[in-house]
Amino acid sequence: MKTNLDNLDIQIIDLLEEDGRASAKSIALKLGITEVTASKRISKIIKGDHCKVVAIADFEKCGFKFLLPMGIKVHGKQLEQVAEKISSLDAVYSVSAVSGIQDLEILCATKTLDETVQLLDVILPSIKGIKSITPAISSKVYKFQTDWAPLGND
Amino acid sequence: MIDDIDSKIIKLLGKDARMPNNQIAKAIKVSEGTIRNRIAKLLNQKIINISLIRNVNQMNNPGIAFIGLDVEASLKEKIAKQLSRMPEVRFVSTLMGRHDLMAFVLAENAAELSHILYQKIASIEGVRFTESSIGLKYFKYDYKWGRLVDE
Repeated sequence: MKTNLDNLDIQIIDLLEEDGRASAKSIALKLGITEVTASKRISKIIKGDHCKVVAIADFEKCGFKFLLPMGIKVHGKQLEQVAEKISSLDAVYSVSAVSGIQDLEILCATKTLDETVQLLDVILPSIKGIKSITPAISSKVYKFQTDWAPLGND
Repeated sequence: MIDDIDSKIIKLLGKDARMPNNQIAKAIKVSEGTIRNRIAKLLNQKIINISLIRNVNQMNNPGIAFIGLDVEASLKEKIAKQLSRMPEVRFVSTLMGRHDLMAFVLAENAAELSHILYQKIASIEGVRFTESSIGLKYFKYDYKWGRLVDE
């Protein structure tokens, strides 16, 4: 849902983009507003649907060696159920229904080759309704930008 | 590498990076000083970064495309870098299997998306074949994970 932001909100968002943990006090100082106003606006912006300030952790440095962008084909009517089932797996961090040759595009992260094999050969094939799995392993990530995302599915 | 305390901190900051240190300290039962040091370490070692993520539903009619590319082998790295320089391209990776490269594109609307797919990307030298899928519905997106790539 779209909600309206005024000029002050946008200025606050810009400052949070530079430093997500900036205190209300420092934001207030920079924009020449009171700390109370700053802190009210910040909670409005974050509790609303606009944006989130979060820590993004690096897969690889957290021990996930394999990033797997996979395409999944599903038997017709079962798309939603299959998507929900796949979404419930911990190794899967993004699931999108798509138009095109594939029905679902998913991204998974695993720590070991064994875990990867388990996911590809045991866990995913056991989900009823999956017609085919087209796996791939990401060999080098050149760009991974996260300033826009579909929020609010959690 | 990260230990148990680090992963607990990452989990909490992954939901709300503005959570004050004293609250994090209380939640995972260590001192506030430890939290302060750990967060500084995680940031310095580029294990995490603090980001503002905007909700795509605030765009008018956002279009997301997942593109697999088959390219001339000798030009793979060059094309990956070229794609990375395009602001609409959000994710670029070389692949083992499926395609040579994969890219995700986010555009403000369908017209812009088609321009990027059929004009900008298709005209890159060495791109032999592309297969695009357009996002229809997003079931899961765990934004707390990413690759922190130096640009």
